[in-house]
Amino acid sequence: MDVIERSQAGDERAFAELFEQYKNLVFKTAYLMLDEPQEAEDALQEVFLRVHRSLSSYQPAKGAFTTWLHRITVNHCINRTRKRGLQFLPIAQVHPGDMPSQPSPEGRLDNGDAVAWAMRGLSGKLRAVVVLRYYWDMSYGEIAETLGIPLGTVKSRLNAALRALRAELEPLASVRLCDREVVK
Amino acid sequence: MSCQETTAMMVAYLDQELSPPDRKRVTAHLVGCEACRRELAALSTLQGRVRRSLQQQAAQAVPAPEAWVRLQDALASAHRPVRHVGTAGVLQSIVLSIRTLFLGGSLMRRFALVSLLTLALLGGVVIAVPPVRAQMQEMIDAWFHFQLPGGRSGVGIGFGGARHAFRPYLPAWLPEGLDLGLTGGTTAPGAEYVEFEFHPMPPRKGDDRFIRLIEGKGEAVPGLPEGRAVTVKGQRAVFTSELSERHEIQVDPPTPVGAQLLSWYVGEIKMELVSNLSEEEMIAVAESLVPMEEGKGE
Repeated sequence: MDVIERSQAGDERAFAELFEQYKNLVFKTAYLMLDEPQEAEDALQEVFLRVHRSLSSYQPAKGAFTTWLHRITVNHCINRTRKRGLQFLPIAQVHPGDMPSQPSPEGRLDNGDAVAWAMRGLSGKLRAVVVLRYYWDMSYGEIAETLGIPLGTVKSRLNAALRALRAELEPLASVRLCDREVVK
Repeated sequence: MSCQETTAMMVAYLDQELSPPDRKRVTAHLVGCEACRRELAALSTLQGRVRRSLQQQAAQAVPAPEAWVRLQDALASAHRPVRHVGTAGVLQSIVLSIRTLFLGGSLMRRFALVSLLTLALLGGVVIAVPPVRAQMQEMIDAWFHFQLPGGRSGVGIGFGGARHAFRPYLPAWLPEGLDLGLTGGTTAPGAEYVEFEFHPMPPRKGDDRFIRLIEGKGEAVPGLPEGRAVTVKGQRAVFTSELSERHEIQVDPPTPVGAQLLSWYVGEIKMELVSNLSEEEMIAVAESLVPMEEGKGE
C-alpha cells in the first residue's frame, strides 16, 4: 500500500508522510496565488484539514492525487483572493504616494519583481492558470482537469492573463521613464 | 488568416498547444506579417519573465517548521467529541420554528429574540396549564433533535396541525466560524420548503461567507437546473450561478456577488445550497448533510 492508500485507511503516520511529501506543492501554489507568507501558511493548514476530511472520497481511477490536491489548493486560494476583493488594484490606478506600506512600482522594477507586482492585479481565476502553466508546467489539458473547466476556457484565461500583465507592465515602464525625467 | 485571429492564438502557439492545422496557419501568417512577429516576440519575452518571476518567488516559499504541529492541533480539535444534548443544552439552543414564514430582511438578532420569547412564553403556558398543554401537543406536529458542528445542539419544532412533509437535513460539517443564523419554511400548493441560513457567528466585519440551504419536497418543486454536472455522495448534482429571487439570503447584507447554486436530490427531497464558499467547501457541506432525528410524543 502506498502512502495515500494507508492514509485513506486511517493510518495517521501515513498522513504525516503525506503532509511531508506534498506540503511544498500546496505551500508554493498558495504563496504564488496569495503573495503573503502568512496567508500561504493558513492555506497550507486549511487545505490539509480538507484533505484529511475528504481523503476517503479521492479515487485514483479518476485522476492523479496531485491533480486532486492542486484542485483543492487552487480553489481555496481563488476563494481567498475573491474575499479580499478590492485589495488588489490594477497598477494603472494606483499612485505610489497612496500606498506607504507597499514598495513603489519603481522599487519593484529595480528588484526585478515587476511581474510579481503586476500579477497582483489579476483575479484569482486568471492567476491560477498562470501559476499552473508557468510555474508547474502543466499542459492545457492538465489545467482543465485540475480546475474542472473546458480546454477553451484555459486558453482564453491564459490569453486574458498575459494581455492584462502586458498592459500593466508596459505603462509601468513608461511611467518610470517619465518620473526620471521629472526628477532631472 | 487575419492578424486578429493570429493574435488570439499566439499564447497557445508559444505554449505548443495548438492543433497541427492551426499551428500551420499561424506560422504561415507570421512568415508574411512583421507586426505579428513583433507581437509574438513580445509575448514570448513576457512568458519568460513570468516563468522567472514565479520561480524566484517560489524558491523563497518554504512552510514554517511548526506547520505539522499546528496541523496536528487543528486535527485534534476538529475531532473533539460532540457534546451530548442535556436539559441545559436544549434550553440554550436555538429553537427552529419550522413552517414559520420569515419574510424579507429579517435580522439574526430579531430572529433570536423572537425565538427565545416564543419559547419562554410557550414553555411557561404549556407547563403551567394542563388543558393548554394537551392542546399544544396537538398543535406541535413534529419536533426534531439536531446537532451542529462544534457541539451546538437543540430541537426543531413544527407547527401547523399536520405532519411535516419530510424530515429536514442539516450539515454535520461547516467551514470554520460559520453557524446557524436563521431558519424558516414555506408551504405552497404541491411544494413544501424548509430553509436554513449559516453565517459567521458572531458576525465579523469583512467576513461575508454564507450558506443558504433550501430543502423542498412535492410535485410543484422544480427539477434540477441546467449547469455543470458534479457528484454529491455519488448522486448527480449541478452547479450554476443563475440564482432566482428565492435564493437570495434573508439576513443582511445582501447576497454577495459570486454566489453559486448547487442542486441535487436526497431521495425525494430536492436540496439547493446557495453559497459564496469555494466549490470544494460547498460539496463538503452538501456531503455532510444528515437527517434531523425525529422526536416522538412530548
